[in-house]
Amino acid sequence: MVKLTMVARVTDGLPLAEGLDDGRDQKDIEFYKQQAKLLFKNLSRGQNEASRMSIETGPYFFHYIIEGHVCYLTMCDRSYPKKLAFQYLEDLKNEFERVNGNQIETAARPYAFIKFDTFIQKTKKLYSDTRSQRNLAKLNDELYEVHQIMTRNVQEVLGVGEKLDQVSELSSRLTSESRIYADKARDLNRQALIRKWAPVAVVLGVVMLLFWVKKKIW
Amino acid sequence: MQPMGNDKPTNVPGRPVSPFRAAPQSSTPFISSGPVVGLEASGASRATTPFLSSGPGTILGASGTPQTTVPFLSSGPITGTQMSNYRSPPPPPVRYNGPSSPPPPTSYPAQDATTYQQTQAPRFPPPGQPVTPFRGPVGSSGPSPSGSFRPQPQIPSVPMGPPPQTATQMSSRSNMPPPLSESSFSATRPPPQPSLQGYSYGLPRGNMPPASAEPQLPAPRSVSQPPLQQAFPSSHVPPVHASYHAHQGGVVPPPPPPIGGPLGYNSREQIQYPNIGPPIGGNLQGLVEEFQSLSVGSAPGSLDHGVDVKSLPRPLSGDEEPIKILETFPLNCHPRFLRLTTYAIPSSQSLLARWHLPLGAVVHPLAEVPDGEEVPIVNFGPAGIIRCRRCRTYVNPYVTFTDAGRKWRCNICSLLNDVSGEYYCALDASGRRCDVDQRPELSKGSVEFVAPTEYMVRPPMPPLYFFLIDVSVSAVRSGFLEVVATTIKSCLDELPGFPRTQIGFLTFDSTLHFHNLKSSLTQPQMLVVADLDDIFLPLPDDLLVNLSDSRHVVDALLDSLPSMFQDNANIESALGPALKAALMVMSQLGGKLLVFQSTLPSIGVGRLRLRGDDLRIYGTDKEHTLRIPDDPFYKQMAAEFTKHQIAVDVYAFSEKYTDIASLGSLAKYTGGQVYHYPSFQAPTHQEKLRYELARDLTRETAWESVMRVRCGKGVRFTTYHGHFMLRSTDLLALPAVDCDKAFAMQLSLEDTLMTTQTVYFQVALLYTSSSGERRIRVHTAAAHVVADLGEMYRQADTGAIILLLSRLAVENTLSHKLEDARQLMQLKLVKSLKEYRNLHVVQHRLGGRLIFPESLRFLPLYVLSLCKSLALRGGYADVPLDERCAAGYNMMILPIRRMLKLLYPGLYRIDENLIKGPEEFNESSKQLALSAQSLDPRALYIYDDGFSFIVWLGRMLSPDIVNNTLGVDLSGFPDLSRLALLEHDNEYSRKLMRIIRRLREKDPSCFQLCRVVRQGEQPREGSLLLSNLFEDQAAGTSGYVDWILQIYRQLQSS
Repeated sequence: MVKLTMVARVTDGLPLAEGLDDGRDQKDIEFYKQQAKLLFKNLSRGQNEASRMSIETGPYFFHYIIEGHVCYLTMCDRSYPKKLAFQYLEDLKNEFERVNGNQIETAARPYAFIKFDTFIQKTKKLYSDTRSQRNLAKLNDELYEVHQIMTRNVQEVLGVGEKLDQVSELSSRLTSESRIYADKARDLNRQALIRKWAPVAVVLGVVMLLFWVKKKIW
Repeated sequence: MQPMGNDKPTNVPGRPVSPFRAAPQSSTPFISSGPVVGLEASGASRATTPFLSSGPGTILGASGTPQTTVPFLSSGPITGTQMSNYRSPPPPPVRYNGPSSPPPPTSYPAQDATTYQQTQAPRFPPPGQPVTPFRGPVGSSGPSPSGSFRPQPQIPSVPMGPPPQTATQMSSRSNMPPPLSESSFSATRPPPQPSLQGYSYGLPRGNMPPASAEPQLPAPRSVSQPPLQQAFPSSHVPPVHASYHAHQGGVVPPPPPPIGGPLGYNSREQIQYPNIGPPIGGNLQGLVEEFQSLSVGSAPGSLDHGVDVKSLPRPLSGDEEPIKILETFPLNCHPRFLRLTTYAIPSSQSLLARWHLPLGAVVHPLAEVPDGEEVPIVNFGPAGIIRCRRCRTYVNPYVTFTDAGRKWRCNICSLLNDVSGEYYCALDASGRRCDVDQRPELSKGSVEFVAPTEYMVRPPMPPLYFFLIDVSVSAVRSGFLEVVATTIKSCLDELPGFPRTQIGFLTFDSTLHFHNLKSSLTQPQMLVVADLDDIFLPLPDDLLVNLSDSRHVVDALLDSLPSMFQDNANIESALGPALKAALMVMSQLGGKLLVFQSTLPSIGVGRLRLRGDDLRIYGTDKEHTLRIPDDPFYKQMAAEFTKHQIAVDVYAFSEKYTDIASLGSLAKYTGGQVYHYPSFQAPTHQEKLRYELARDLTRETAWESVMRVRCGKGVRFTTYHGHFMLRSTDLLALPAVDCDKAFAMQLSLEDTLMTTQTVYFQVALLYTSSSGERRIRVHTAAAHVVADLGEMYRQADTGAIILLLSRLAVENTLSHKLEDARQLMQLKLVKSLKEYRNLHVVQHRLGGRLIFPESLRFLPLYVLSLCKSLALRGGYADVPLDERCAAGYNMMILPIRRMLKLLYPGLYRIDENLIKGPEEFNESSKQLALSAQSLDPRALYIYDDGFSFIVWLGRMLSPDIVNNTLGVDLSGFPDLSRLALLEHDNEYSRKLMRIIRRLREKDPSCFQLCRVVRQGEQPREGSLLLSNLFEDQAAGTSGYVDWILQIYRQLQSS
């Protein structure tokens, strides 16, 4: 059973379309939507991910395919056949490319192709019953092989991003700290200099003063 | 000037004070001057000016320095007329020259009795001229100074004889008018009376001789009447107007152009109502006496003729948008989107406390714009919308760029923000960005931003319409079911948002009928749920379907709907459970819920009692309980609906009580609208229902929107009035909003003293368009901060004030008695006029005039008609409770233009258009005063309040016209209430329908149902038309003149 469907542009993570009444009767749907958005963000950072991937999250699976800079993502129950899910995404991809193919790069606003949601809704209904004749036929179709598709855990995937975030944060902290260190070092240097020569300067000053006074008096 | 000096002394001895005293003197001088005038007449106007100046001197003394104020003061009854004359003649200024400013003085001189004669000479020219000029204005409808100028040129042409007459007439009229003007302005003074009488007598005598000349004067006028009357009326009329204008002008010095406008209007009125004029002019003595009584203030009732009704200010041109503000602040958004009650914001609490009118704004975010002025759309793309870091203000034309363009200062909180790299642009020498012209957000007050993802909590929703239709027996019988079904069907193609539009239906009587509209079906399936206590959806989906997919099923359903319930004998109505079911169906997406209800909800949760309209409860503390929801269920449901982005429109078709007060709260808290069709009968009302339902379905709608109004430091919006749900202290949740809804809000000052010169306001409406785009519409406006109360009055906007007042009044009726609400309005009016009077009384020694600022000249009339409007009028028997509540809900959403139209409906005489066939029926030039006196039994009128038309047939109207326009023989068709006005195959009918169509085009937001009523046809005439002639005295309410006197007395006493 398909719970959630999203289409986004990989280059910048801009959402292009989304299923119409996704997540009806599901209380935690917002949480998973957030996860999906994080996934898109990760993808847009240019990490080279496989073009097909399944990611497990809680009781569900995210499945996505990336094709022509567009990522088609769906969330299904664990029990939902992987094969059908990817068939579903393929269907979406074909239709989306047929209808909007040439405008994908130029879309400037979010959900520019929201009209696609009606197609998503329709297609979703076709795939909702796994035991329908049509879907059984697809399951038995050997042409479409999904076994090689990698399965990872969402924490892992998002974690990669998080770790990268941490590293970049660390490094940026490092640069700023080292800059502060350099400043402080310079400051210390100057103070050391002053401490070293100040007494000499004072003595010299006193001597000069004495000389000057002496001259005046005499 | 010397002569002036002389005159003054004379006056002074007579009586130290003001014009009145002058009057006696004037009478004598008058005579002497009479001749002079005659001599001068041709070229005299200027010669007179000196005299005037002298006159003015005295008058001025009374009036005081302020030119503006002077007019009013001077206008004291006598002066009033004179005033008019003065104004019309440009010379008057001369007088001012002496005192202060040139133009206003003219009016002053006129006032002086001594000068009077002299002045008359000058005046005369104007009067004579006025006649022609007035007409000019009438035809052209051009207001303005030009009118006054014209008169002068004409003067020379006027024969010697006539001028005197005019003078006399003028004087008499002037007397007459003054009362009027005074009445409006407050003319009463006891002392003046004697002088006035003397004065008036003197005048008449002087005039009498010249009377022969009158014919000449009348000739110019086109009005058909007895010569004498004509002459008088015409002459009278112009003077009156003139005086009126003068008053206004005097009152409001700053806006001279507006004054011109009023003149034009007056002239029109006068022209149209020559008949009325005569009585006034007829008897000088009578007038004087009345005037006296007026001044005494003893017997208002006796005044009826005494005050020149025609000279009272009337908004015959409808709403005047305060476009002037665009001259001061060219970067402001157009006033159609945002209007302030005054464009001068007070700088301190103490100043605000003296401004007794509401201080606030009226926002109409989606107002319809004429072609070519569409709001520009800006897309910042991935850079995001430029907003202030701290107060979240959107970038607008008033932000300033500094630091070579790298920073910008927010105009609302003055925080310095960084300019992002993508948005950077160098500044030119004057500190302006070089790309201002390419960026609408920096050059236009109204702009629409494309919202990026951060502004969406979910993908843009599709337009969604869900229909909740009552199919109980009364619904079927009244025929609305069929009309609704056919109308919806005819609108399916035009529903916005194709191909995403979603649609669904639920019908109910004592059970709920769901309709399965699955696209694979050929016929819709009906699923009945009878368990009202535990509502469940019989299907998980397919109750709400995509319209384009299931179009054929929806068509089939709508075709069969009327016949399906044809024999339904169920009288129950389970509205509450139906609402709950609708919420379950719609909660995922939100959208618009249209509720069609024909009876009182009788079973299930939310059932309502027959509360009835109890006579005994009126006047008690419990009176208001009838006007508030009976059952909290509806408010709770409304809150739920808003939470799920559902707007509710309520269509009520009741023969009997349906408790609109309770049902309406559904619309009130969801940004919806209440449509009420009392005793709906398909044959007569179907056209109206069809049009309004179609408009509701097809107009451009903004979905799942929120609105916030930001304003600069020192001011704060405190209360909001309209149909919405307040989500936080200042965020209005509007599940759906469209061009027919406006919102009002009140401002308060924070306790500090405002230090800035200018304060800014910004309206931001975040919404989803029907095409699925998320947009932010931003309107920005600026206003000056002032420390002067007078400036606040000058910059006041009557339209915005009255709209805010009316909403306050309607809300007031929900917690207080009707009477209290009306009195509160009156109190506010009186207090504010009193404050204005105090502002000027000291310097000008106003004595007994009612003065008010030019910008608020229509306010008394609007407040009067507000008190007489359906929602606030009378008590128990005057308006059925449901209609009263429906009118109240209506007033809470009306934009300013329609509100003013409702408060001062148009009345047009059109029989001439029908006969002569002059195609161009010009509403603005033909609008009549809203009084039974405007109705001529020989004519045919159309009354248009924006919601309905009433065609009034005079008793003596030619049967030819009647029969042809109605298409039936009136004698054989006594019941006009069932008559529908259709186009018949004859000229009259075609022309009438053309005029009606034109009037309808002017206000497309609702369908004005046309009803025909004959003169004397009781009780229909009374309820349809006569009770809505707001200037007339009706049971328990005062007429316009009485109202003005009443206000004046309260000003004096309080």
